[in-house]
Amino acid sequence: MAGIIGEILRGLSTTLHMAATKPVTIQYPEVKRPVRPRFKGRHHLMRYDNGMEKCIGCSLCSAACPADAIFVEAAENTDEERYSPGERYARVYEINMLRCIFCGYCEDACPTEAIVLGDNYELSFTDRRSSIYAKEMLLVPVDEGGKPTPQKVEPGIYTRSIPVMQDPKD
Amino acid sequence: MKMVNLTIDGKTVTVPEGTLIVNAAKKVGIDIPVFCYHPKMEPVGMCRMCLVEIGRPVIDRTTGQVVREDDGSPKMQFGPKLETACTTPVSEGMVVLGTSEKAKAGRQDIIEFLLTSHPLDCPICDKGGECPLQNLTMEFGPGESRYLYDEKMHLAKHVPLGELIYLDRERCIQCGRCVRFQDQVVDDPVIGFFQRGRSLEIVTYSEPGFDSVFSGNTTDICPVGALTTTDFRFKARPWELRSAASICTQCPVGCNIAFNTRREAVSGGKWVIKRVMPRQNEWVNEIWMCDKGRFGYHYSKSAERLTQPLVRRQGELAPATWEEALSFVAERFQQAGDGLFSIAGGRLSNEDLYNQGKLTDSLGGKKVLYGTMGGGDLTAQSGLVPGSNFSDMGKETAILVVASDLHEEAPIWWLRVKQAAERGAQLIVANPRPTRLDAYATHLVRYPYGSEAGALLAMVNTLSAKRPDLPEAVANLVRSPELKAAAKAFAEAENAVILYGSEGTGLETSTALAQSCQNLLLATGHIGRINNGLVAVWQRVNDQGAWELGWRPVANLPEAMQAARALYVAAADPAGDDPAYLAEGRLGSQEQAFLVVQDLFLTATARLADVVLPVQAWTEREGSYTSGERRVQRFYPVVPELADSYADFSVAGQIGKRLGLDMEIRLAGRTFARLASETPAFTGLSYARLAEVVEQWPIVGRGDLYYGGTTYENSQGIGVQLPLTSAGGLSWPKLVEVGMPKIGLLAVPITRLYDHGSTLLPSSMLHQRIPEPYVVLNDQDAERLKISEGAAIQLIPAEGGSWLGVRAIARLRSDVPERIVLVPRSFGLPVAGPTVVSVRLAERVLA
Amino acid sequence: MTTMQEFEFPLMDGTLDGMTHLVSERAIEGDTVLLNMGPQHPSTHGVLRLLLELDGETVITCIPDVGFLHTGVEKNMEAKTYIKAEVMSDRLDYLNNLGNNLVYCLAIEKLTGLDVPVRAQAIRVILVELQRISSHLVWLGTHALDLAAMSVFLYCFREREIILDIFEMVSGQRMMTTYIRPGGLWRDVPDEFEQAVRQFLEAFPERIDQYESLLTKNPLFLQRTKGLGVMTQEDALRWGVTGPMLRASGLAHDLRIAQPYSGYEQYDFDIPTHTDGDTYARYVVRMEEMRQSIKIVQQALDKLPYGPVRSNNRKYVPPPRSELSTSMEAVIHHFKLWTEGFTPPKGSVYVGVESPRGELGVYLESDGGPKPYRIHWRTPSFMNLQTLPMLAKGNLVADLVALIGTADIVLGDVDR
Repeated sequence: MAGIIGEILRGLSTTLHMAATKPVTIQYPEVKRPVRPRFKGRHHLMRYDNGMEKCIGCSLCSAACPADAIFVEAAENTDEERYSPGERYARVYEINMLRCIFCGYCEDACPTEAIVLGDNYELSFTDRRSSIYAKEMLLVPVDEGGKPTPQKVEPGIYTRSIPVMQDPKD
Repeated sequence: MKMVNLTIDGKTVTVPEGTLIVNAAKKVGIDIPVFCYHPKMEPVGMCRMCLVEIGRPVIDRTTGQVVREDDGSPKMQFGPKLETACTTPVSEGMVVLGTSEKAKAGRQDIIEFLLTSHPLDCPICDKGGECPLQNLTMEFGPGESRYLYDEKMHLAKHVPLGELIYLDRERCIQCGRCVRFQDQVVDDPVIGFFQRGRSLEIVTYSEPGFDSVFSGNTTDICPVGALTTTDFRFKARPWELRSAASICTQCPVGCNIAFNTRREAVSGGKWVIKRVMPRQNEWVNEIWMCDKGRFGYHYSKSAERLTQPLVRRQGELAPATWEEALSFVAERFQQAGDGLFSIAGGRLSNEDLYNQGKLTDSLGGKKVLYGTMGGGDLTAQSGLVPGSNFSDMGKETAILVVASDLHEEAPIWWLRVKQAAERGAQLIVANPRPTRLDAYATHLVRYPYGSEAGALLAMVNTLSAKRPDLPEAVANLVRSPELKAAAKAFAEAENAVILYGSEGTGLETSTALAQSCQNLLLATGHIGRINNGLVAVWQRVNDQGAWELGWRPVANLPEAMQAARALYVAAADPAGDDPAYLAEGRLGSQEQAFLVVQDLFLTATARLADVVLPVQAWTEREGSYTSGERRVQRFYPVVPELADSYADFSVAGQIGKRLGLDMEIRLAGRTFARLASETPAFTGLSYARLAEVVEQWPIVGRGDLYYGGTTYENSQGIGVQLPLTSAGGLSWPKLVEVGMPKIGLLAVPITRLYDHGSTLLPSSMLHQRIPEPYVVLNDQDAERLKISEGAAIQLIPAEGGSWLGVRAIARLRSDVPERIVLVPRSFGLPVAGPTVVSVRLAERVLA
Repeated sequence: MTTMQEFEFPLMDGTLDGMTHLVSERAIEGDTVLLNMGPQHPSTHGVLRLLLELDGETVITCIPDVGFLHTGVEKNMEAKTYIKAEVMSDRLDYLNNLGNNLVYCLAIEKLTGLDVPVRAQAIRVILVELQRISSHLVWLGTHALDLAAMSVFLYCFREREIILDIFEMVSGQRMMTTYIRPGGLWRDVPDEFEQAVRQFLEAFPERIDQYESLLTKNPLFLQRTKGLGVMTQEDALRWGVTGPMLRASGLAHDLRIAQPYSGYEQYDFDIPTHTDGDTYARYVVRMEEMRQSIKIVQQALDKLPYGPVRSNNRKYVPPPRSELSTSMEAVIHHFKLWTEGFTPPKGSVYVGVESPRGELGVYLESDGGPKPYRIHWRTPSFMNLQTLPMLAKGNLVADLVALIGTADIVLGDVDR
């Protein structure tokens, strides 16, 4: 009998001790824990510093996606109306967020580092239509010193589609 | 046929002597990688990708016997270097090693070399995903590069060759397939190599660039994305596309094609055709197709397509429901009774023609095929029998091409006839003027326009004892040595085929020509056997099918329509073709017949109609066409149909149902089954039989894209050739006297591939090749009449009736016979047969 | 022999028709009650339906009805390329994501002869052991919760948060990481990794003591688990049971020792066993396994070699990003691998690893194309669940809850 009481007391002391320590609970949504650098959240279509879109409409992300969430239609760049370096850009770019499993394959497959998965995980919609994110919703805003697309440029400068890239460091 | 045994990668194979190692390996399922080799062209051994180690048995020089090892196996002598499998024919006892270390290293090195100059274009290149270079690099190439990027060769990119093909010179791996295709296969060397070594590039010598009707085929066989079509540029990736089988509707060859479709965002999620690819059918089009078919499908997705039935109320055409329109039509047809007059064009499928014909016949009305070419009943009696194939024709065959500019009327047949001639066939070209086929002809026969039938009868005359009288115009021909030689060659050949076209003929002259062709075949005993017979180069895809189903053209359509109380016009535009109909109010005015037009667009005839019924294009439904060789082929739905739309056969069927007839209104297959049971030639045919396929050679479009190109494999049906109907006999055709006029010129209709047809004009990318309406005059006549090159002129028919407002540009050539004006069809100039005209400069259009 | 046409499939529609051979005669007479437990039930640890034939509270027969979480993964994987199919492997046993990734990648590597650098192997071991700890924490938390020890549940999940945070640090995702790829890893671990893992290793043994203080000698817990669901070693082997369930019945069989993979032979650790074979024994074994996992991670982290983390074989592994702007071969391989995927040679392999639940195996058959011709997952939960009817016979419904917990089933693993 004493052993039983002893054990129960021992357990109780553990829980009481824990009751006195600071809780580890984070009070979401008032307090949001920052996510890790590699976190795979909402997608962004990146731009170069000069404002040109990185996406060249190659559809590799669409081919790599296990969930068939990405739809791409490409079109021709001209120097009067240039969206991205090289000959090709994405005229239509849509991601169905309901299908997306946030695996990051699109980011791995992209040859220009155009599509990246950012930090936002607070995505909700009220109907299926609004779950399809179009290009305007995915493109990041133009940086300081950059111009919005389409741009009018001198011919012969922006001919290389695949930029020089570094291996991911983070 | 001597057979040779050899061993490739451990597998033994027995092939006929002279087979190249690449092909021998294919036969046992071993894929030797190639770039420059193509099974339809002569090998050159340029790219060195097919390097293999070859060992041959050592032969003792003195005895001629194979030297044996101790264990009895033959002593093998392997070459010191790797040899190309594509240029080496097999020999007895050969051992070929494609997977040895040396061969693998060789292949890896070749790929590495090819990639040194290749630009990093994969993400933006149209070929990515169906690219032989990519596939072979994955299989045989190195994983890492040893080459400095900055030393890559920079050449021009995105160079338009004409407005149909783009060339990217950086991507070119200099395999030469395109140049050799143009040179060897189609004999139209408008592209060629320029410069040497790393600077070697493709240039075009023609203006407009790449001016060949077969240019699209080079994009199929190009192993990289150097040659791509403007039609498909950046439209989609190959893995995103769905494909559906169909038949091209632009000429009577009936090339097997495949449409690639995808859902498109800009049109709100509709399924849209992205491109057309050829489908392999070695009996019809092999693995090629011409540019008209490849780039001329846009009419099916034109915004001008009719979508709703229209009914004339208070003088204006207003939209109506199907119920309204069809009830109205049925009511008026009922009233018309045997006064129903149906005009159908050759664009309709067998099922459509059958239903419309059945409807007309049941009411006792008259059915007429809209056309100016005759002889379809004769081709059914003496045409090609099942098993015939142009590819099998060679030395023992004579091919007579009469009254046809085959390159313009049916390019793929031009190609096949040319290739047959190059294989040794006796090619007799009988035409009033020089055409592109002349270069391959063994015999050339010139006859005056209007005397086609006479020319052939002259040939019969030289062969047979009976010598019936010939018209004056051909009297000289009978004595000409060329004609005699041609007739002799024709008669002596074991097999003989006649292709007759519509060069300068109207209905009567065409019918006479067909009869005389049949006479020639009968006289020389060339009927009823494989690779013998009569082929008509029709003007539309299913004219032969229409003839099989009992539709016939009439010589004087306006006269024939006089007694009609109701006109049912489908896939034909008489008012658009001949302004006379408009001017004299022969169609559709209130006092005249009740006019129903069933068409894709609001044509000139439709504007006069009382009821206009829209129909589905051939890409939205299934059906079957009968080609000029009498091969029945199926086409399948490619894009979903529009809501509330019907196919031609369904519309006719619904009208018939309202009249109490038992007609099929839903399924094309059932309609075809009925058709087959009622038409003797079609007995035993069904959609299932039309969908049967056989293994074809060369193997194309599978995992080894590099071998045959990106042509699609045929898995939906190669079609069935119809058997001959009852045999006709020798009969004297009614020869129409078409003499040269005393004053004025003789205008004769000819066919041009790129015309102003309503199924071609919506394809804006071809507009560079479609000229303004023109006629061709003999340069001396033009000088006499003081007409210069490029002047705007008008043709005035001698028998009255003006074609005011119809003007054309004059072009002058010296090879046009004197006193002749060549008038291309489908340009708005209503010359239906040889017509006497006078030419004058066009009146100035006053502002 | 009964042919397919002759066999009468039992109807599982709640009526007795067609099931008469599964229940005892007393059920047909109406003497016992047929009770449906699940598929929606907090204690079945997923969508598991159990048909119970009860005599009062005692279970006479227990018929598991599985398949509610069946998503056709094996068939679905046949329609996807190997790389795309890997994301589906995460989602099978959803508490052992990295373990599933590992076995899938090992199967591909065996089939293709792909090499894995030593650094990648070591990191794989670290992460899979952390995954094992995290899975056992879920097991412990939910098992204790079913037995009414609520605070243990919250404590376990507090530790699990740290592990999930480490996973988020390396892969960007807390659970469905797809971090282990054929040929090595997706990317090298970030610099904070070692620090975070060491911190965890330092704090965790104390925590295990904490759980033990609440449970191991707790009389309530002992009463509910001791002597319950005894499975002899013989029975365990006959039923194909593996993992802690087997080790608790006395047999020291662990695939990490018996058929080492990914460098496990370098590490020194014990296989916890117990002889009783009851629920309490299985509890003890799993607790000890957590401690052993700590030991393994410690060793692996100490011995962590430098080097690349992914094979250099470009035919199967996409090239590094920096090469894409200058190397033509890299662009082509990148393009083809991400669109069509790699094509392993023809053949078939079977690879088994020790998952927290037992032997997790992948049978992979390739026909030379870019998609698996057939892939079959030998999942431990499915095998272990088969013992449930045998163990449940004669016990109370409340004990049934403990037995489901002790089997440590994950329905994703059972149903695929």
